[in-house]
Amino acid sequence: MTLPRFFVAEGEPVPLPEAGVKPIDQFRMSGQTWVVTADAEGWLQLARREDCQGLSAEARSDLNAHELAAPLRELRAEPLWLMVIEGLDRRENVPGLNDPVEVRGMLFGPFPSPAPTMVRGRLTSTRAEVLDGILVGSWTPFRSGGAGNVLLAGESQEELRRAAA
Amino acid sequence: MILAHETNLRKLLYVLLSALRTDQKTEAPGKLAAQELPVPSRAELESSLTASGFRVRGDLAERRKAGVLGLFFHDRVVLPPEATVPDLVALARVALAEMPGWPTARSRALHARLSLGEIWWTPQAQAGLAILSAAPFTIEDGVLVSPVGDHPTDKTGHEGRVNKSFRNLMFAVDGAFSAASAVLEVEYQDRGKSPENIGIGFTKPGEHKYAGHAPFNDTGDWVKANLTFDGPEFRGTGPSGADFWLMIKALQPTRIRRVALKRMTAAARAPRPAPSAPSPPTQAPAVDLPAPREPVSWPPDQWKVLHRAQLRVEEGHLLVEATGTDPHIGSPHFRIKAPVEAVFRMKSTGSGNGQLFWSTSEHHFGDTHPVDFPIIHDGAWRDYRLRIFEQGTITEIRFDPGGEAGKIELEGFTLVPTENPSLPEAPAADRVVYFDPRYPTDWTKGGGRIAEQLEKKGFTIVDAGQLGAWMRARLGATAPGSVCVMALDVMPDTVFESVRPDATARRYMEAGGRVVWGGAMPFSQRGLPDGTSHYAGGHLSPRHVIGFNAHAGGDLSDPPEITDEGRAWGMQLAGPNGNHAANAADVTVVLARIGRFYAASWLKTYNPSFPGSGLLRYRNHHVFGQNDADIEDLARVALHGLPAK
Repeated sequence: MTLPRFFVAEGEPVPLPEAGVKPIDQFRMSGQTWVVTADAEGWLQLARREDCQGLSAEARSDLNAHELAAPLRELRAEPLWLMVIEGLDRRENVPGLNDPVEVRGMLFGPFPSPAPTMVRGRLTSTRAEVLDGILVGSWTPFRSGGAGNVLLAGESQEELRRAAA
Repeated sequence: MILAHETNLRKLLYVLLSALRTDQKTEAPGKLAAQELPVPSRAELESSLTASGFRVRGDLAERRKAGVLGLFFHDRVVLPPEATVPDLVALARVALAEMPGWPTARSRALHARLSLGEIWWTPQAQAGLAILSAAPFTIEDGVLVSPVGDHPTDKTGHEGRVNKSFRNLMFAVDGAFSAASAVLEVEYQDRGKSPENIGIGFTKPGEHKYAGHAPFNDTGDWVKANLTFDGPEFRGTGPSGADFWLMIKALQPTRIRRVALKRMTAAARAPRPAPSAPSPPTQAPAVDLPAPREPVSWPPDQWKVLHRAQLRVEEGHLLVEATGTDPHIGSPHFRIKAPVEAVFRMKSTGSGNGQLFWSTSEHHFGDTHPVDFPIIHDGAWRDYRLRIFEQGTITEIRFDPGGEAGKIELEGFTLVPTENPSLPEAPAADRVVYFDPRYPTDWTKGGGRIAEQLEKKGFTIVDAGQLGAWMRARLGATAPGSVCVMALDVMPDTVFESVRPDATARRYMEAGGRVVWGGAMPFSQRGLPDGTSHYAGGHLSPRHVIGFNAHAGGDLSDPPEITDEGRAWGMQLAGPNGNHAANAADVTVVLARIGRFYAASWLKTYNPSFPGSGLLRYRNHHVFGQNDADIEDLARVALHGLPAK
């Protein structure tokens, strides 16, 4: 398993617990619908929609409402990583406005994978990339109580282009 | 690729915007630095101030200074408002739009891996569609309500458009949305009897496209208008600006509760071009040959269908039958050096006005705002002769022959070269006032008086031809320190040749010259020597020439307030209202503002090497120039900072 190029782990990845309890996002990828769930600890997991029958009735109702509220986004993202943001640290000031920043948090993945892992660490990004990631992710109807999803690049532009082709 | 979850989006946005704002103040001045940043939690801020000894009352926090000074002096802090996520997201769009080098190649590569099939907006929530500058629209009972205009009729003389009675609502499309064809869905409700209520236009980098219109509903019921667009691939540009706009007729309030953009056909999976990249001309020759000045025509069977039409050739002329709204046809590729006139015969039993678009070797159809012309739908052959406002080499024609019903026959379509009018010798003066009784004016009714009064102050009066010669002579080092006051508020054809930044008037400002403009919207109409004005794109056309929407704030009724900068420029009269207000963040200097966000009088500088140069928008009077106090004030502002004579 290779972590995203711009992510620096603070330890060894450990196996990710099985299932989440609450859906926080839903999208299409590789011709299938995928659901991001969070468990009581806040750890994230990705599951196929058809594998979510074990979720609570309320959670499944949330998924249905989300699917009917708006067409789902389509990601060409394999492998996809999930992250819980715990903080944002400024790095050194560089000329210009788009200074590098470090997004701190717990990384989960890769997905889809039979044995996803989780590890705490830092993703290097820039101010503009994080702002843009919020704009791209901010439309999801799952956003509630001030929470939201942010789409970030973990790879170089060449790797992103290669995967999108 | 990482999908990250953030439990406090407001705080994350605030931290980033706050840091950007601080850096803008020291490194690269921008709009963010000029705006007050709302805080993620007012309660936390107040609690923190209270802990530091402040007493909070309303929006003010006060603390006595230590020691004896505390008897006389207080520390005061004005508390910013609390932000919502949409507030901060809107500021994030502003910040990204002015970020040098953004979007980066990595960002574009990331966006290329995300796509949306449908995006929508409601007053309560949004999914990939964002409103830019909703004012002067209001939200009442959960729906967006358009203001009723005070100009119900067209005063420009242009047929077929009521440009002053529309309100524009601009939308930004999420960068993840792309489509080869799409349908725009608007759920609206109104009462009225006009055939054209909601007009819809799309933009994409380097291209603008009028997509059609929906009629008034006239029943008071909620209805859904569907407008399809296809043709050139559409990709949202997200934070870089507006991607489509709704033009709402302001005769009656129109209520809108949902706007959605649905993809019908997917766009090709290619890396998204940079938003600033111009569209390449179609079928452009590999070698840029000199363009001929001979008339150009082509056989009728070489016309092609571009949108909703069927074509056939009978007895040597072209029959066009519309198969839906907004039919249009296209020419084969050719090359002819402008200026030209389009000469043709046509008979029609259809409806509506016609439009002529053109491409050049540098600009695609959307960059060349169309010539609109009335069609006589009496079924008889009629001759038409249309002047095409262009300076470059024309390579293609798009012909829109009217509405959806009826039959059109077209014969002998030819582009005939015309000569540029010979320009007189340029006056040597560096302070001129434009006034030409042959040319039209709009809101400025006292042009002669303005010219006469300014002449007494050392200005030289120039007519349209002299103005053209004068500005062309100042496209280099002689522009800085010069000024031109427009005493007629319709820009003449001699300096407004195209609805693009290559128009002479814009190039003069880029060279460091100053143009002072009162009255109606600058660059919305083009004046002709026969006293008529050509509708050059209305409230949107200034954006293509001056680089931003000068009408973003709409028509505001509040009285403007002169700013400290305005007073420094000598401004003493702010004007009665905020007709045609601009966003304060879009201009360089605000001379008179309305509230925190809008500018009624302003300066937009295009060449930072010459502060004080550019377009000086002096008020926006309906009846401008009819009293001496106005003209005195105008002269003070126009001459501010220029060398004394």
